[in-house]
Amino acid sequence: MEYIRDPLRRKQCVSRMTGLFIFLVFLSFLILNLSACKKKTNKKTLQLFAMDTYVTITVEGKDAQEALDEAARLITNLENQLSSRKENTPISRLNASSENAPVTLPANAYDLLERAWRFKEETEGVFDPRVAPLMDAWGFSSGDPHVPSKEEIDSALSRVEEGGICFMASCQAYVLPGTKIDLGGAAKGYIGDEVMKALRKYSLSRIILDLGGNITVWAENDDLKVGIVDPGLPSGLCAVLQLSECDTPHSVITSGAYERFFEEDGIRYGHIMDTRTGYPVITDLMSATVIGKDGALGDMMSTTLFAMGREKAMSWASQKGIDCVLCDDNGTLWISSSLKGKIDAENGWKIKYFD
Amino acid sequence: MPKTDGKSNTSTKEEKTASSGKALPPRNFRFSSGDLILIIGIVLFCAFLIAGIFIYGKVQEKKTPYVRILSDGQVLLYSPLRDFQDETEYFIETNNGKVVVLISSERAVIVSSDCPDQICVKQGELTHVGQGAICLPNKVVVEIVPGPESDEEQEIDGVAR
Repeated sequence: MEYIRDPLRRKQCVSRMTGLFIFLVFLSFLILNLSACKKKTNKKTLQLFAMDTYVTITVEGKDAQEALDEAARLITNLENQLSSRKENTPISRLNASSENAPVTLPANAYDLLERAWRFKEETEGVFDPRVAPLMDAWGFSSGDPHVPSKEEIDSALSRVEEGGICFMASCQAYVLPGTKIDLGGAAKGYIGDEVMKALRKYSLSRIILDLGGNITVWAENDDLKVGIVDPGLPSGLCAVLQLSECDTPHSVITSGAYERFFEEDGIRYGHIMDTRTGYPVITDLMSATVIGKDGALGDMMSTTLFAMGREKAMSWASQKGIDCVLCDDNGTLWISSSLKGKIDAENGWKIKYFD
Repeated sequence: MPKTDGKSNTSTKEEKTASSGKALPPRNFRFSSGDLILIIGIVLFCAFLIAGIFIYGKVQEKKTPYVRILSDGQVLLYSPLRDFQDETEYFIETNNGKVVVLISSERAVIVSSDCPDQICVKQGELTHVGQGAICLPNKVVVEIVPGPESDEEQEIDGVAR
């Protein structure tokens, strides 16, 4: 650049260049700020150990914090109503009741108990809330699973077979001697429904509930993706489900024996019991997933479909109009044809649709 | 006497050579306020440039997957997975027992746990965002989560198990 001798012109030129530099500095500052900050949505996550499992709740929207506080309260509250393993819950009091000393249950617990009982009748005992003595005998309730002796199985089995619930008016009920009720196959799905119902009252745009792998989701005018775990490789997925129209809550609930099982003498024993034999169910399915709007039903239904095995599960699902994904032990996903176009297989699983 | 003379002579000589040897800048050059602003501007610009590169690197780091370990709700570890160039073992003592987590730049895995069901160990290696292993008896959670500044939409909203 030629040096400008005239002091006045030089001054003008310098001040112009200074302006340019200051402008550049501010520009770079602006770009920096833009890249560092981006639009933040009010998204909050709650994680807690409850219901013998790990719970994650993610919500987005104005009332995120209030919604999470309410969710945590509600989960603890409902767990204290529905658990049969905790002391002094309505269900454990029911298990200690008799004809002469019926118990009055909270409306929630009574409703779910009645639904579970009706479902047992409907599935002819494939789903059975009287399963608790067997779970105890096999050590699944205490967290120390083992193969029990034949005598232990027989005595547990007779308690199951002779067990029963008598429903009375005004939420009262009692059990027959020896009966021990476990709502584990329905409670998580039911609690998901209840928490979703409560959170919908808040100003939120997205609610994702993960109650130990039972997924219940809702999003305002948005699609959501829910994966289904690969039962052969629990850190991967076997399928991804595209849920459109999530304006009504959807639940995606999987049952299988790939997570809670133990091995003894080379035989694998899963945690889902067959109340007719007293042993873990023998099935050609690795997992069964039910997609629907009713989480409590989905929870009971997925357990039932898994226990039924592929052929029976397929005919049962189509007869009842249930949307499901069945993972067999040959790397094939059997999927209700109503889910066509909404699901993609992962990890090399093949898809077959059925009507 | 001649000494002082000599001294003054040399000094005047030096002055002469200085003024005659260098034509620029001329005598009327003064360090104006504009020059000062110019220099400050250049320095600031460079500083912002360097800071920008540094912050960009930090932001990029915040976009990579993080590994998070929770013990009974308390965050024990939350750092970028790629920081673990060397395999690192974490021994987590809980009220119920001990859990050992191995982390390297590509994966996190619960290698052992003294719980009866071993569900957490059976989860195997965690390599992708969204994967996690949970030890219920010990109340320990190991997860791969998106970085705090990750702008990619989380691909999967939930995983049914």
